Amino acid sequence: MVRDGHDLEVLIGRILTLGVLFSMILLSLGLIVYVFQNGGLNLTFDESLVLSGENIFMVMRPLFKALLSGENPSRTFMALGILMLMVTQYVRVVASVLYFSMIRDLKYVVITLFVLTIITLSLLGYIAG
Amino acid sequence: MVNLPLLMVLSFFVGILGALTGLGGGSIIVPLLTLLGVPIKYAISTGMMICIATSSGSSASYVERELTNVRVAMYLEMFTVVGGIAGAVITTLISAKLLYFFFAAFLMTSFLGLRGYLGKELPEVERQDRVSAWLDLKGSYYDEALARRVEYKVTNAIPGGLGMFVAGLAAGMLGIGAGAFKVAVQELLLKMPSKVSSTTSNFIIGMTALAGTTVYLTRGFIHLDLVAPIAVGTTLGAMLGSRILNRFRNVTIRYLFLAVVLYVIVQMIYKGVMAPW
Repeated sequence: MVRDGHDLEVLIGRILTLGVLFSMILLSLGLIVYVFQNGGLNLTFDESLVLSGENIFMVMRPLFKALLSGENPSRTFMALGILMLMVTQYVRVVASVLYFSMIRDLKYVVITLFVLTIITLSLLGYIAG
Repeated sequence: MVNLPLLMVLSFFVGILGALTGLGGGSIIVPLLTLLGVPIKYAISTGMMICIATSSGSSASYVERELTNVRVAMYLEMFTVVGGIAGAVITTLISAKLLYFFFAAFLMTSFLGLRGYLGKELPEVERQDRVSAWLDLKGSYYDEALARRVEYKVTNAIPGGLGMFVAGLAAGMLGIGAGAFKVAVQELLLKMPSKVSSTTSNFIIGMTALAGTTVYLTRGFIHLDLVAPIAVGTTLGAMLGSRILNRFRNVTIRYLFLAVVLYVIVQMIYKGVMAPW
């Protein structure tokens, strides 16, 4: 069993490990396909590889579509890997809010909820940050 | 010519350094990339990505080994995130030249302050102030270099929070992770042991950087060509760094940190001199 009060650390540690692992797999897949496509290791700086959108969620939708249709797999995998790194950070805040609610630590529920709200608003594009 | 192996090796070392010092690594990689001929708009978004990668890559093991103080991190995150947004809003109102000099001066004072207790392995806090005690800002970790468990108390929660707000401002105004500011505030005001400070700063930096993502996405600054190999290199470097940190003495970590801060100060002054009025 874990030491008393150590659960939050274990929870967040696991979330980060899993997120990083998934992201590394996606990025490596993307990079391998990329190298084969270009037949070399130099960067192409091709405009199609720019990731842009109104916010992180808007960027995600077309990616899932591309994943299903299998078009431009290197771009899709790389983009999903990068987004996975971002989402992991987001999930760890959500998990902390839930954790503090479960142990009824009101002070920290308020603190983490505050951070979650600001981050959510900023990811949705309501706040420039 | 920029190629994949070069980027991965470069970012691998930045990841190690970032994990050890608590600096996101943005201020190290951005000038290097621009030297290699990468357009500045893509270079700065890479700086942000490096912060997230360093943060996740290193925190996974730091958090589980209780080197990172999660409560302290969450409390401080409130201030940096708000500071970051405030910074992004007011950055258009103040001349960039003044900003660079202001932050260079701020870092210089922290540099001198930190140099003052280079000899001290651990800070000594006998009594916490009321707010810090109320927020339960304390902790303990097993120090491998000292071969014992270190108990510590964090103090000055309110001034420390304000300091982190300024760190957030710097991040938002200058588009950097501002790890150097965070570590300085945590050690000088909050009196956190060096290892706890750099690991906690690493943890927070991911969140500060995440808050800035939307701006880069809407402006189309994220180039997968660049960020994908760099994210891989940095994460691997950060994972390695996070496994070796605990073997060093706190004093060693502080020397390493000061060396990087000196580099950042020089960079700030240079940019300040070059910036138009």
